[in-house]
Amino acid sequence: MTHRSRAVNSPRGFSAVAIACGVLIALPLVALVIRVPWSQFWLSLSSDAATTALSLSIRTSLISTSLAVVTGLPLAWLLAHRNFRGIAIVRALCVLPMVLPPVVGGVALLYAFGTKGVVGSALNDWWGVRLAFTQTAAVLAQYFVAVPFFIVVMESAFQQFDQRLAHAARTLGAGAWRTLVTITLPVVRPALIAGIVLTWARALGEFGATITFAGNTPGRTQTLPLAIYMAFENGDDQALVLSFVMMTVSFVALVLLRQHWISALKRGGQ
Amino acid sequence: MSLRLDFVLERRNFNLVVDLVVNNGEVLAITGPNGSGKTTTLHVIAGLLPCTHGLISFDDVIFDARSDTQSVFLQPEHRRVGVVFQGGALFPHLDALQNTAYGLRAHGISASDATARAHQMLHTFTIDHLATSFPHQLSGGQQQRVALARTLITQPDILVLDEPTTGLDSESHHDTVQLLSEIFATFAGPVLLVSHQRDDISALATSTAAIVVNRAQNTTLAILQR
Repeated sequence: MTHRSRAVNSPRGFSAVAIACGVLIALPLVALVIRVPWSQFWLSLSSDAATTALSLSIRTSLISTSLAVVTGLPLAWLLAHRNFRGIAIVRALCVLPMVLPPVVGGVALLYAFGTKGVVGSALNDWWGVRLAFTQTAAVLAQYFVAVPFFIVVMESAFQQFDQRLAHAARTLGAGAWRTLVTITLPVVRPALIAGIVLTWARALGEFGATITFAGNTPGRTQTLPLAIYMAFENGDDQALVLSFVMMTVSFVALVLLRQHWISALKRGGQ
Repeated sequence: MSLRLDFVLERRNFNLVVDLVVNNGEVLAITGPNGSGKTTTLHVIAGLLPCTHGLISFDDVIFDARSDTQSVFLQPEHRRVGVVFQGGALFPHLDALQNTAYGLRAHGISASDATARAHQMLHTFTIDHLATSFPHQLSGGQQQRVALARTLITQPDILVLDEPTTGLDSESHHDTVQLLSEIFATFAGPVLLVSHQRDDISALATSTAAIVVNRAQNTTLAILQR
């Protein structure tokens, strides 16, 4: 279909509403950029608090994303290939953290892994391990809210994947692992990249579950979003600088991988 | 020396019963209506789907045996059943040469040896000039040639082909039938050919077996025998 024939089918008034929608999304972002104190940009960014939060955020988000990839891949595979009783419930549970308020996720994590939690109390009694309010907790909080993005993207990719290709590889002499590594994963690579980027972006931006379950200790659990919130509460312009950095990082990642995540989301929506 | 199929595959509302012996050197065409289980039969032979009960064996090698007392399943990579899938099913991220070399690499042959032999194979199939082309750059007939080269390079004991001429234009159709008859003439093992094109069957097959479908109230019973 050409652009011209699409324009003919546009109901009157759609363009105006569309522009309004775009403005509503863009305006707050533009407002933030306008207010960034450029003269103090490097000073704010290189302050101890900022670099600590930034490096902590990068470290924890990379760990939680890796964890999400390693564990989410087999789960997405099972959801795409197996048909068992109750699969709809499992699928809904896996996606639930995407729509749950993150603070609820944080509370739930506390009741699971906190010192008085279902698993946490056992960990504490048997090995003296306390997860809550540690860096591990920050990683777990990010994992909890971000892994659904990876599962959703990969499940749809595995469902779209032409099984005949894997069948061909098997009959040519490749085992199941070799087929996964040399055929299936390379063919679904766009979805894989999109899933990793979306998961990482979500993990990097995690706030609610982290502050509830991991706390807000500078240098240990105070990730970038938490540092922004604290700076903002104190009326510090650093909040603007750090917000701008986060926005830019996410924006650049999304633009660079535009083709990948758009096609992956489209396929997911079918 | 023969492929023995004596199995039942049970699915919800669908039962497939296969009772066949295919001898070495025989080219057996399998016919039957759409959805009657032709492709499924090939999948069971290749080990892409286990049967529910029964026995599938080639000479004295048991591929799949399921009964009250026995449960054996040989993985597809160990069966030496060469499959040519409908539409070719070429690996889209690999070029024609890499597609052809894939089976040799999977069998542990070094990259340089596999590449050399894949070149040789493409030459035999008169498509050496397409070695660096990717599947989406090839015509239907060319894809089918690469698919055949990719399957035959592993020197399978049994050859199964699923609608190898479907979707080809008349010229490539003619070429492919010609090529297949040359391949079948020298292939020592049993060949199973799924096709719904009468001309192809009469040109290529030495015998035929049809799937007969009986539809009862809720279930379909499909029987494949001579």
